[in-house]
This record gives sequence, C-alpha cells and structure tokens, in this order.
Amino acid sequence: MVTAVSPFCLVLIMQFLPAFRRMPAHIRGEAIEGYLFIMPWLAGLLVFVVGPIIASFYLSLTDYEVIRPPTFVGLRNFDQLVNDRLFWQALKVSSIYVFTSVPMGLVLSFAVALLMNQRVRFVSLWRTVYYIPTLVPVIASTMLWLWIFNPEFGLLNMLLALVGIDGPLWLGHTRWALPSLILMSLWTVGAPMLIYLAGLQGIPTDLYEAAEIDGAGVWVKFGNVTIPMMTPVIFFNLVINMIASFQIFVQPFIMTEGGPRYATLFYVLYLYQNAFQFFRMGYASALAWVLFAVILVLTIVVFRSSALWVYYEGELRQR
Amino acid sequence: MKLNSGRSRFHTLLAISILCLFLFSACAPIAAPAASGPGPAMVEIRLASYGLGDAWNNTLEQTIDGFREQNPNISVKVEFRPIDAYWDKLQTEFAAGTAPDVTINQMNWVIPGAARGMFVDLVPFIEADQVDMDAYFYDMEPEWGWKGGLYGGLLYAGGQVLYINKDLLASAGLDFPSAGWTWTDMLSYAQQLTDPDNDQWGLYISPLNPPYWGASFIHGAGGAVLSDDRASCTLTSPESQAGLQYIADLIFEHKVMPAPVTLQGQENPFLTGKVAIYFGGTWQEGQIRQAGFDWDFAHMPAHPDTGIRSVQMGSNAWSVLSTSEHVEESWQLVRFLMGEGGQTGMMANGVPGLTAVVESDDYLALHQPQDISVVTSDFANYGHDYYPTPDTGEWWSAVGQELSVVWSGEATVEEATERACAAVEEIFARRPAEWGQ
Repeated sequence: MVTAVSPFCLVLIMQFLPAFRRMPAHIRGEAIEGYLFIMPWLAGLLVFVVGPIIASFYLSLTDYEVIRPPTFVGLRNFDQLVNDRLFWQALKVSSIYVFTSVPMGLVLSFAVALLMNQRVRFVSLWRTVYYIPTLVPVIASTMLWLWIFNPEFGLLNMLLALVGIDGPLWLGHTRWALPSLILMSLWTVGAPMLIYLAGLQGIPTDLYEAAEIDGAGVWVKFGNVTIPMMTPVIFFNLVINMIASFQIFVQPFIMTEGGPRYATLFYVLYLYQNAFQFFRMGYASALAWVLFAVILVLTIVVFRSSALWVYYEGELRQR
Repeated sequence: MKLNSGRSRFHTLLAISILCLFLFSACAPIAAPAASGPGPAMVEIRLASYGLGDAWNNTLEQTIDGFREQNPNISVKVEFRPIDAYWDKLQTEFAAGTAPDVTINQMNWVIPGAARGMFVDLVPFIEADQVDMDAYFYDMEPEWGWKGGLYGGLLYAGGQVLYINKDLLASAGLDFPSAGWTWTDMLSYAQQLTDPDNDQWGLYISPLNPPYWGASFIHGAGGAVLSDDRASCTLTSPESQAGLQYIADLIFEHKVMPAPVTLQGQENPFLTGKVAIYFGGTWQEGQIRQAGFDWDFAHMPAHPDTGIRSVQMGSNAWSVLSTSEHVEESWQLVRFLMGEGGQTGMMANGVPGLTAVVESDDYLALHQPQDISVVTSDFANYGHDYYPTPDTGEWWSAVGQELSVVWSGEATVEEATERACAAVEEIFARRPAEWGQ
C-alpha cells in the first residue's frame, strides 16, 4: 500500500521543490519517470530498512521488553554490555569464527576455482558439484552436518576410526564445538569459488604469454600475474564473507543453541535470545549497534588496507 | 515577497503531506461492520495456535465447532501458525496491537507474559461463572498463577512420562516394574537391559536439563532447583547435587544411558527400539504408539532412601490477550476449551485435566491396551511444577548451558552446579522490584 501511494505523493511534492521547478520541462519529465521507477525500492528501503535502523538506535537507549512501552534509559544498555561476560564471550566466539573461517574459506575457494579453471574432462560437472552445496537450504544442510558430527554414528568419526583416530565429541565438547562449525562453513565455498572463477577467466591471456616469453614458470606466473589480477576479487570476497560471517545465526541456533557451555554463543544468537527469549529488546538493540560498529571499523580497515594490496588495471598510484 | 513565497510553498507542502496521510489511512484495513437488526451483535474473536499437523488442527477446529453451536453470536476465527517463532510473532503482534484475542501458550510463556501485562487474569471470570476448579485433577495455579491471578486455562495436562519397551523386558526375562519400584530397582533393570554389542541401552532421559526431567531426580533426592519463593538457586545443595549425580552415574559409571551428545542428529532411540526405559513427555505418546513394539506406561520410581517420587509437569494453556476488545467472549471460549466440551474434544491428542474426562471409559479406551491412569495418577500424586518465573527463559538457558558439560563428562556436578547457581543469581539480581519474588 505504501508502495502504491507513495509515487503519487512524491510527484506532488517534487512539483514544489525549487530545484525541480527550475528544470527544463523535458528533463523534469524524465526525472519524474526515473523516480517513479525506483519508487517501489525507495519506499521499501525507507519503510523496511531505514525506519527500523533509526528505531533500533532509539530502542538501544531504552529499557524495552517488546510487550511493554520502551522507557528511556540513556546509555545504560551500553554500560551493561561492558560488564556482561556473555557479551564478551559472544564477541570472542564470533571473532574467532570470522578470523579463521573467512581466511580458510577464501584460500580453499580460490584453490578450488583454480582447479575448476583447468581444461579437464567434465569440468562443468565438477563446477556444479562444488556449487550445489550453496543451493541446499541451510536447515537441510545443518541437519546433515548434525549427523556428520555425531560422535558415535557420524561420518567424520567413522573416517577417523579408519586411520586409527578416536574422534572427539565435536559439537558436544567445549573445545571442539566452535572448530566444528568453522569446518562446516567450508561446505559453502562454492559461492566465492564461482566469483573467483569468473575473475580467473577475465585475466587477459596475453599477460601469461608475455610472462612465458620472459621465461616465467607456473609459480612465477601465479605470483606475478594471477594473484595481482585477482586481488579485486579477493578483496570483494573478503569484505562480503567477513560481514556475513559476523552475522551467522541459523547453524548455532539449530545445532548447538550456543552450547556446550557457551562455546558456540555467536553474537547474533545472543542478540536474538535477548530480544525474543529474555524480553530485553533494548539491550539487544544496543548489541546490534555494537556489532554494526565492529563490522564498520573492520570494513574500513580492510578498505584502507586495500590501497596496499589490491591492484586495479589502469589505476595510477601515488608514490 | 520571498517570505510569502516560502510560506505559500510551506502551506502547499503541508497540504500535500496531509493529503498523503489521508491516502495512507485510506489504505488501512477496514473494520468489519457490526451486525445490525434485532438480536445480539455478532462478535468475531481470533484464536491463534501453532499447527501440529492436519489431525491436530482438524480436531481443534471440530472442538471449536461445539463452541460455535453453543454461541451463535460469537464467530471464532482459528489461525494456525508455524510453531517455530510462534512466541516471537505473538510478542511483536502484541506490541503492534494486532495480537489475537486468545492464544495457545506453552508452559514457559504464560508467567513471563503475565508479569508484563500480556494476558488477562482469569480469576474474576472463574469466580463470576463459578467454575469448579476442584473438578480438575491437575492444579493450574502452580503453573500459570502469578500474584494471585491465573493467566492460563488448561488445554492439556502435560508432563513427564515413563515409557517401557515391554518387548525388550520380555527378551531379558524381566517382569514389568511394580508401582512401588525404586531408583535402585530401575538401575538393576537398566543394567540387565543394556547390551553394548547390539547398541541397546537400559534407559534414556530427554529432555534432561532442569526444569525438565532431570528435576524429578533432584526432587527425588530431596533437593530443588529454586527456593520455594523462586528467589534463589538451590542446585548446589547436597540433595540437588545427589539427584544430578545419579543421572551422571547412569551415563559414566554404570554406562546404562547414552550421553545426550552422542545422539545429536539421531532419531529418538526409544522409537527405534534401542532403549528399554524412557523418560519422555506426554506429547510423544502418538509417535511411540506407531513405533511397532509392545510398550506401556510405568510409575515413576521412588528414591530408595527418601521415598520421594516426583514427576515434572508442564502443560499447554489457553490465554486471553490483554489487548483483546472482546475479553468476555474470549473468556467464554477459554472456559469452553478448558471445560468438558473442549477437554473431551481434544482428548485424543493429549491428557485432559478434568478428572471426569480422564476417568471416563471413552478416554481410557483411547489408550488401551496401555494404562493411561498410571500417568494421570502420578501427575495427581507426585506432580511438580517447572518453577515458572517471569525470567524463566533466561535462567533455564543458563542452567542448561552449565549442566551440558556434566553430560559430556567435561565437568563434575559440583563444578557445574556452582557455576549454574552463580549465573542464575546474576540473572535474579536484575529483577525489577515490582516482581517482588
């Protein structure tokens, strides 16, 4: 309904904006059409994204139990965060997950992409095989991995037993539960692999030919042509996966509920528990804003560092 | 001139904004017109429930048809929702003022909601209509009572049930346990029924952490999870620790029970015939009935020294939302559902709370050849509530997290209960004064 009515209002309001009125008639007409076309998206953005963001910031400054009106408490929620051991535990768990699963995923998906870029038989089939796990609904894959990690009947411990290793309790042990979920994250390397593959196929072959003429071997070509040319893609995958990994929720929610003994209490899971199970929506909103700040800072750091390691063809660097 | 032009523009923009507001409001849902003409006005109330499959959903609809026939001026719209995130959705609907009039409630939702003004106190209605609460063998007050009020009307008398695989007992040459059996007897049975070579276990308890079935062992040993006033954690008492230690010994010392972690991602081992004695819930009877082996209900065993036998209860209720504009009509529906019409209508899917219904031939026949009176008599004689508090969700989670490492062998009962109580006390310290527990 908002989407349906808002174009009408927009057109009416624009008629009276000075800058808009100064436009020549034909440009004004184009502008109206342009805004009308983006209006459904714009209305959705305002109502379903910008609105909740503003609301959550206000709620982070309140004591809000959802079913009762919020009470303004200033910065008390943020103050409580500092002394909340579970907040620090959740931040630690998510950080360990991000700083291990993201690099591992980037390396593995890049390696698989290199393999999938070779001229081998049935390469289309192999590419499909590696990509399929990303299409499996997360609930289904989670149930599958619960079975794989089962210490008594699971596939993983059965394979370890074949080489004489007595496998751990995986999700049931405080030391192994988080590594289990990190291992499981590699299940979806197919998505970044596909992006890497597109990047690899976009590298001009004349660069490799020029390197070969200069006597470069496989590793030299890899280090001096492939890697530099792929850095924009690596940069993209790094940023996207880092942000997504900080927001992991479904897997710990279904598989471990944050346990055993908070070993897999991921940040967003703790946020959800506070919001809907503990009646602490104001506190959960504060948690959300802290997570936003953490991700923002890390993203800025990655962007700033990109000047040192990301290579764009045709760019001029200041020395 | 400029000032006038600015004012003119401002007024025009204001007029357009108001026009837009009118247009937005015109898009709002239109309320159904009240019935006109002679006779009482038609009232529509919304009842929300999580869907539990076609059979259950149809039974509820058919049961409510009985109410519709008795109350032609009240229209009941039943809304089935997914059980996942049901509570989350209900909270947000309540906040938005779009909640249904009546909702199904799980045991751990009633008091947290009631303490925050989400539900209507049913006591004034019960008193006004002179509902005979003594007609129920199942006491609702400990589960859904808060500060003298009652915030739930009974749907089912649910809770802990002891299921026995009679085929496995027969294979081991064991008689069905007597009504007076003890923990010692149960351990002896479990040892004789455990067969590691065939992946067969003597017994299994699920869900395990207090206030679920582990609590019945704490009570049996003379302990408690919380103090009587629900203001402090008592898991560190020697009696409570002894109850938990008994369970830990079943896993690690006697090796007659699988560690819960070894069953992650697996089907319930009782259903697959791999467990002989199973502490489960009333809601699992339907599945067990289809498992394809001979079984029956058994009485809870008593502690050999204290003589205490305890069974955990935890039931589903119907509650009236405080945002309802038709509280009287909603109460009439809840009264019907917790009354004979509702309890009889729903008895095929759960344990009714009315004594007359659970003792009726029709109800007993539904469970034959099993003897359901074993379950209802244990509820009536040894039932214990699940320690409802307004912060149930938070302290349950803390206790579960800390005790989980006992069942994986990573911590002793003493270590885990010390940490659990520290966490619970931390949560209780945040309680607002208005709760006054």
